[in-house]
Amino acid sequence: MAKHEIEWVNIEVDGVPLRVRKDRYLLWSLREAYYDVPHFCAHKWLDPPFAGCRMCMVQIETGGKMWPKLQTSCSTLPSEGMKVYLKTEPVVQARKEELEFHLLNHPLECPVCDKGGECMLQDQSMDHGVSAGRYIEEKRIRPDAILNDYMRMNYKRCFHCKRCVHYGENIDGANLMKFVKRGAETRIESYPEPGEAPRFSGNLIDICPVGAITARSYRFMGRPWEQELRHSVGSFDSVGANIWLCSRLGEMARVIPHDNDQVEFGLIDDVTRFAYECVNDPRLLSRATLRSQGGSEQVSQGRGESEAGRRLAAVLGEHGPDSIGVLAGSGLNSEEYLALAKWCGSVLGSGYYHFGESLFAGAAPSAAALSSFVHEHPGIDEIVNASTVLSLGCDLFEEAPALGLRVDIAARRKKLKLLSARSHRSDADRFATLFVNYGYHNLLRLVRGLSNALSGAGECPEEFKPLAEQLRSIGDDCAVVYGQEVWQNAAPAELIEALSALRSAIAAANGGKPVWLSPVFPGVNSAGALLLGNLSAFGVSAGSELKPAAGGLKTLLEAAASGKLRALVIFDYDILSTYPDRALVRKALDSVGLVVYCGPFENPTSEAAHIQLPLGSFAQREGTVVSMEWRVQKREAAVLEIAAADVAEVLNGLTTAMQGAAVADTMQGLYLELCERLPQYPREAFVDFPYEGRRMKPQLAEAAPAQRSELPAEFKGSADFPLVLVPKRFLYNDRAEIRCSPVFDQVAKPFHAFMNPQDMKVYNLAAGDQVELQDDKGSSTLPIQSASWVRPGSVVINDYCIAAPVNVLAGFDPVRVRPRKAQPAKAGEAALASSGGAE
Amino acid sequence: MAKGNPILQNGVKSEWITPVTTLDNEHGIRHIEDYEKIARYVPEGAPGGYRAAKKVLQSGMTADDIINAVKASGIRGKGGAGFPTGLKWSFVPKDNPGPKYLVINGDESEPGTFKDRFILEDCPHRLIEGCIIAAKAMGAHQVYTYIRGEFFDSIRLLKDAVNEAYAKGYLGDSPFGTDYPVHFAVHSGAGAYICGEETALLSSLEGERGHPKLKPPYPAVEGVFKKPTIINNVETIAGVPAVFDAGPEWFTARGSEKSPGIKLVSVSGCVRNPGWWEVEYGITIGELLDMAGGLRPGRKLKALIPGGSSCPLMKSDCPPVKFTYEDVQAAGSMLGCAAMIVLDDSVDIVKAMGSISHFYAHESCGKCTPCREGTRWFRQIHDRIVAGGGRMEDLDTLIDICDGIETKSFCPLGDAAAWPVRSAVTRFREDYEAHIRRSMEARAAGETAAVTAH
Repeated sequence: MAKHEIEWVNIEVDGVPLRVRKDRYLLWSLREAYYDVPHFCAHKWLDPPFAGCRMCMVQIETGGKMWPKLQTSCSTLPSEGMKVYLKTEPVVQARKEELEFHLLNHPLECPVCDKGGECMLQDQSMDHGVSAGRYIEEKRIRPDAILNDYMRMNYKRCFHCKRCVHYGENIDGANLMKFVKRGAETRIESYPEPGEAPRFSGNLIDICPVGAITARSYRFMGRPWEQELRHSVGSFDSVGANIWLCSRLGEMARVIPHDNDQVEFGLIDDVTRFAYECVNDPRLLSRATLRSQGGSEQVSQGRGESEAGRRLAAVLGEHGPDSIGVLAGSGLNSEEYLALAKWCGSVLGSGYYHFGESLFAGAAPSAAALSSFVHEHPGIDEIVNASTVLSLGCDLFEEAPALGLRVDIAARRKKLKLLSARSHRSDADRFATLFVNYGYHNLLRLVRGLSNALSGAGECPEEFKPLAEQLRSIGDDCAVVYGQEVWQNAAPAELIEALSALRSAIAAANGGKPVWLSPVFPGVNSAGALLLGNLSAFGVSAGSELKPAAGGLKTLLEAAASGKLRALVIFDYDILSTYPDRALVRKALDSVGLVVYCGPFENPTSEAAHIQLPLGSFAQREGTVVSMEWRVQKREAAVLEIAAADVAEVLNGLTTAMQGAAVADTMQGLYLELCERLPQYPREAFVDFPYEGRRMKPQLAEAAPAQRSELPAEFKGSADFPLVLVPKRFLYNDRAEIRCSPVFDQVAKPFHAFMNPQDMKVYNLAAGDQVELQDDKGSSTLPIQSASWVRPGSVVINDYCIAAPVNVLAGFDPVRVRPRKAQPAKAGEAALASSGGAE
Repeated sequence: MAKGNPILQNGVKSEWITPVTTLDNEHGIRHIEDYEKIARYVPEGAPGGYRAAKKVLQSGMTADDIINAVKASGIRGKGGAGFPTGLKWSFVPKDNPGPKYLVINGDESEPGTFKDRFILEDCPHRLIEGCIIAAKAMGAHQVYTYIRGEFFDSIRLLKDAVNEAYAKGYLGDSPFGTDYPVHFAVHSGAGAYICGEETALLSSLEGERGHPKLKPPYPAVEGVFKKPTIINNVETIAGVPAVFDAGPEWFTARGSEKSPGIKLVSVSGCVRNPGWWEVEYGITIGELLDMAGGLRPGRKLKALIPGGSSCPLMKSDCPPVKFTYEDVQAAGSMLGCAAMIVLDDSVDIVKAMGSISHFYAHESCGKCTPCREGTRWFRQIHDRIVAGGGRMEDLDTLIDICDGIETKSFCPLGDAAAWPVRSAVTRFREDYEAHIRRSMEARAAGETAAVTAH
């Protein structure tokens, strides 16, 4: 990008010329040039520098004059002609002295410390320290403490670099760690927010240079060098955060970030970091289950597959092609989608398949929407470096945490102007220049209003005008990010067209400066599912093997509900809990004679299946995924003891049972085939895929968005049903990986109805009461919590909660509810209770 | 000048700065109830009665005029570093559109010093008058005074004086009928030595933890609440009105070329009459000792700290040294804030240093490693030597710790902790060695006794 011109200056390091960035502190430029400058308190995330550890001191000469004092390179900016000395006697001496101070109170327990082998203090004292200690006084000690649900603090090992405190103050803003007392008696204490689930606390483990902050789940689990590392991608959102899956003795040991500066910058959320525990959990399925009227039977995977294949073959024989539907969630790899698409075409002869969540209210994607996804999207780098970010209907902290945090940091440092519009407030707006609350289901009204205000034609409601004013001065460029409230809208396709129009309007109002439109997809491979589920839309000829999909998810479910489909095969998709129209899913599952569910964990959908087959979890299947910025990255399989099948192997088993033989597909073969069929898909060596990934641009004709300016009426509560229901996506929800990881058991998850205190007073509700939310379709009972971030007149509930599923009430159409205080739950009854009126 | 006030009787009295008190106590001893009897308000027109401030504000002097006058007087900061005051004021960017602030450092915490306290209690109006002039010079409309938390009475009395000044129309939206508003706020610290360091003071004033901040940006460019800020000591500002009352020449005629004018000196320790005096620079240390009543009969001078506990110790040959910044520095110490601590031959230097190192270990803020760990180590080694566990190699360790702290700590507190230790170990090494030898002999004797008894 040309917008930020980089200024360079020439300096000399130990007599060697070096060109460095003028606005960058010396330490980082020196380290980038592979000079070894020890440091403890400085970290690439932390700005301004702290300059407390005094390890990175260098000697500096300018204008022929040596500076009188050594300078900390972490806080010194270079100037033209500056001479820097790293190896002179005072510098070497200073490092020795400061290192001795750091080691004074540090215990000699490297052999039993989790950080041993990857500890900065250990490394630096090997390189720069003296081998013998002369400290014979009493060391500073304190008993360990529990920091929060994930971490433990070992105070003896803490040498007060204070990175953790600064992380809390300047990066995630959670202020988990704070100083108490002063001087050598300074203590770093934790202040977890009661009742709130931590979001980015796990990064403290990485930022701690010694073994003071350690993960409770990884504690004493092994040494870093005994682990097998496999590159993967954060599997619970579409950012594509790079991670290492570390395993030891065939079990998952931990997940650590892989520091891709173009994507997540080393900042990952706690779910991505700790949800690996589900892979070691006994709830990870390894055997198939056959269910019949008489009960259920656990059988081997092979037996399950042959049984499923036999019954599928029977359906196929009886009803012919287009009688079996295939569904897959957004957690599969692109290769697996290809295998599924091929299987549908060549074995089932069915066009009834759908991959990924329902992004278009159950309909097939519109050409304009696909075009917008492909042609108007920015990279994550471009979003966080943009001058203005407009976040529309999307809580970045919950939906794309790593991206949200990077935007938040840039906004905190005033490097970008954050504008935010949503139906409720959230932490992600804390540094927003302007926040507009438009009320749920009024996003289209906002978007059209903004376009109208910017183009000067058509009406714009008064409350949106300040935002339009802000959009007239976007600086150099602007990224519009949208998410969940678009996908859950009644007419997402129309909304995305309106967004495209808004994008053009912003660009026009700013003299044609670059403006991007970035969807935040719900799943790790939603983009891949979109690509592989609609291959014909992307110009791939169907051929004999691939059949074009017959409409969207809704078409498929309706076909199943109406009896047209006789069997459903579902791959890792809890559709019963997450599809907005629960009644339709329930009817579809009940109407087909055979449901085969294939997934790593049990969930309400799998329990409704006749045959349940195990599948490898996100850490066990290998393949490429496509992130929200069309970055293709590879997820490698962790090195584990337990065997796990990928989709190709399952299909292989099913086909063998159906036809007597099958062509065994491998992931590598499928990847090559994918590259053949889709030439834009980045072609690399599959076994050695570049970890940072490759961005792609699918080939698609550009479609101009329809220009419409009429505003829909504002959606509000009615007299009968006064509250608008807002199903919100939270980071902590009931997805199987969170449910089955014991580390999350004690975490306070947001399975409440959240209501504005004002409303709670009106309906005479107190925090913790059971409240029954009723609409014309059904009712759901769950505990209530007061939350000032909720807009008065609405109620927010978690969109994925198995005990109190929101889709009992919600549909694609806007939902209004009536709250009623429920009878207190009887003793022994679960705290969360629900009654699905529609079921 | 009050009759029989021993505080003033020996000093070089100047009507410009020394408080004009009507303390009618015959012996001049302060009792708490006397505080209320001091008539602090001076009639308008008299020296100390806002004559200078009125002149400056009403005569239409520009900021540059004021700064030049202060520069010409050669006033240097009286807080310890001795930075020229006029030069400091000229660092404020003139074209900065936002507000600017004047912050008065009244966090007088250096062991041995007690000069600001008497200004705050005896002549607070002098300080307020100085603030009005300084605020005008740097373009500030808001003055914050940061007073040490333990000075309960000083804070109360200063607040009374501020209310008086507001009532008389010297402070407020139009002081002396001019259109240059000056407002005055009194802020209390919470008892931390580090908050006397200017950037830590600013952090504390902002409500943050009292940690020093990184420079640059210097406070004159980005100080309190991220606005240009000048921080001056109480004594420095209290001396400013005299520049306009008596003229800059009055200052340059006194003292030496590099240290012009007058200084308040606090003398404490092993002297018969400890107290504070207003003296001209250039007086010898011996004369100051005499003012303070000299040593007890039969005692000899052992060591002297000329400028507060953070300055290097001087040996007993110091009395002829002139009391100026340059002479004291040439003699191997520092003038600091002119808080002279006298140690006679009844003092055990090791124990005295132990007590000083306890102070610095307690007051280190903990931000940077050398100061945090080094001061604690100082304390531990001194404690051990005093307790009889000393070893000869401890002295080398002490010097090594000084090397590790000096010029390498984040702020001057580290230096302040290391200088006295280094000077004590090098200049009074025989005391340390004697101490250690005694305890080694005692240990050996104890072992022999134990063996014999066995």
